[in-house]
Amino acid sequence: MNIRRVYPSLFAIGVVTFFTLLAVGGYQSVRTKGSLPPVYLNYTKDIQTTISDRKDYPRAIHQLRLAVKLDHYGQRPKHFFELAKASFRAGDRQNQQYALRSLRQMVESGTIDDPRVYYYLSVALILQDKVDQSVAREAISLCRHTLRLTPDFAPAHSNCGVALIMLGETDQALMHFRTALRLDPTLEQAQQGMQYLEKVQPPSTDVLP
Amino acid sequence: MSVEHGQNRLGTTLIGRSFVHPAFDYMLIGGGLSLVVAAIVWIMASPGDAFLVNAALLPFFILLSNSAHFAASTVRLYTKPDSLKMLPFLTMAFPLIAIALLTLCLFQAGRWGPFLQALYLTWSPFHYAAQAYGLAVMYGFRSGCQLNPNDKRLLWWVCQIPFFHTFIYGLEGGLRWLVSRETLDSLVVINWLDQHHSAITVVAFLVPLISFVKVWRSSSGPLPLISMLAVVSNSIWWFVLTPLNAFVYATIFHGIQYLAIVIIFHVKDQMSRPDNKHRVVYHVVCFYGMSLLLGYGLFQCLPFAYVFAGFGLLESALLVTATINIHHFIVDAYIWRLKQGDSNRRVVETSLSAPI
Repeated sequence: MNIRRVYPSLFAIGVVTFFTLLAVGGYQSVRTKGSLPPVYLNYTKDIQTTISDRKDYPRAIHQLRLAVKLDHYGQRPKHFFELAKASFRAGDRQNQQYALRSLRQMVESGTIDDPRVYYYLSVALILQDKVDQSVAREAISLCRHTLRLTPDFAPAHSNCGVALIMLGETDQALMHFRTALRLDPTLEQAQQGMQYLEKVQPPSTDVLP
Repeated sequence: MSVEHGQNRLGTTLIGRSFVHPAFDYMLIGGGLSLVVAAIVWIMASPGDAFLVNAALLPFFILLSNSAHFAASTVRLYTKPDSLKMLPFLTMAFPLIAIALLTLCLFQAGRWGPFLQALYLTWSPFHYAAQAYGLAVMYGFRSGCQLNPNDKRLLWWVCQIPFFHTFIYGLEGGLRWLVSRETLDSLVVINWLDQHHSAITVVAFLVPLISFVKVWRSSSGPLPLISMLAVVSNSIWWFVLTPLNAFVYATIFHGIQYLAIVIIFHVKDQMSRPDNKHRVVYHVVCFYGMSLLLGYGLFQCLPFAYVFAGFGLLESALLVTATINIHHFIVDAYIWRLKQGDSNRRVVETSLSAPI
């Protein structure tokens, strides 16, 4: 049998399949988003929705584990950061440690341009079960490193404030929370930090950066 | 008088025979425009700023240039004279195979997805290097430089330098895909390369210059400067910019370069058809319009079809992108051949007196 004889049939099937897929894709987008697919497919936002709206942490962890395997390395620190937070909320210590180890590896390798990677690691550090003084100091040092590179990055100020509270340095913590709120008045972690310092009440773990 | 005439001839040879106008060819196809942008990025970029253009506008740049360029190879494949007859497997069977493989990969995204991603990221710099080589040879051929086999081989290796650089130093794919990090760290050669990166960068820019002088002095004769520009601009993307910027700007400018040259070839083919009734602008708009529409369909609509089937948007978007890239690399390896009798050959040989 001459294989070339099959080509036109394969071509016809391929064309029909391809255009059906395009039509189904357009339909799916209109059905779920109310419009044709956007120019930028923000799959990170999709994962965020799973976390913030649905609070479906196991699914979010599954998606984030896939994201760190598939996505470009420039996006990976953010995915590990989100994985650290989602697994903390889900009480999944194994994935939390995996995210922490991976972020540490990225910081130590020095291959990531994004200065937020230091901040990400600082958050992952203070989310651990036991945070002693040396861990809190390391978290502060990492936040300060981020702030040296991007002084207006409000979440780093806020996280620095949380780590400073752990060391009992409340005056400095207050200064960082104020700066964070000046830069971003909506930042919940900084708002809670301020409230804590005012009422001496621990911030809720539900309000993470 | 004869000295002046000789200088004029040398000048013309060095500028080369452009397709549209020297300014257009040097800026868009040669990559001159990308060098201007690369210089701005290099001077202005701070550690926090990964990109020069507004992040909100970047997706539009990518759609207009990069997505359209991937689709353009498919549009070219099906509009090129006799391609269905000459390339039956590629035109008729390969698209269905690509869709089937993509779907299979999505079922095992965690296992096969990283392999597909690594393959596409390793292949990308090779593809860019091959395009730089193709452009250099094509302009040489058009400008009367008959590269002998040795010079062709030399030029090919010179063009591959950015690929080898990315293969060794890149953070994705390449050596990091094939060899574990621990093994890499223990390799003496890799450590030596890491320590001498600056020196290697200087050598990487000197080698093309030396090679062009070597080709000039050989029986091949001088290559036009646009050939060197195409090779050097590809090197600059991968050597000077940060890896993330390199991937963004290289893809955008590679896309612009590709769209310019593929539209020229398409228009020349269409204009030479005996039954052609349309003007150049019509063919340009039609080709680019089709490429843009297909690019939007491929990169934006296709992932949602897999979301409809129950896959996540993340794996759908990333693996569709990887598959489109690999499909494009394979198609490109066939549609740019300059064999005798191929319509490409006729376009390259077209005289200066017949601009598009």
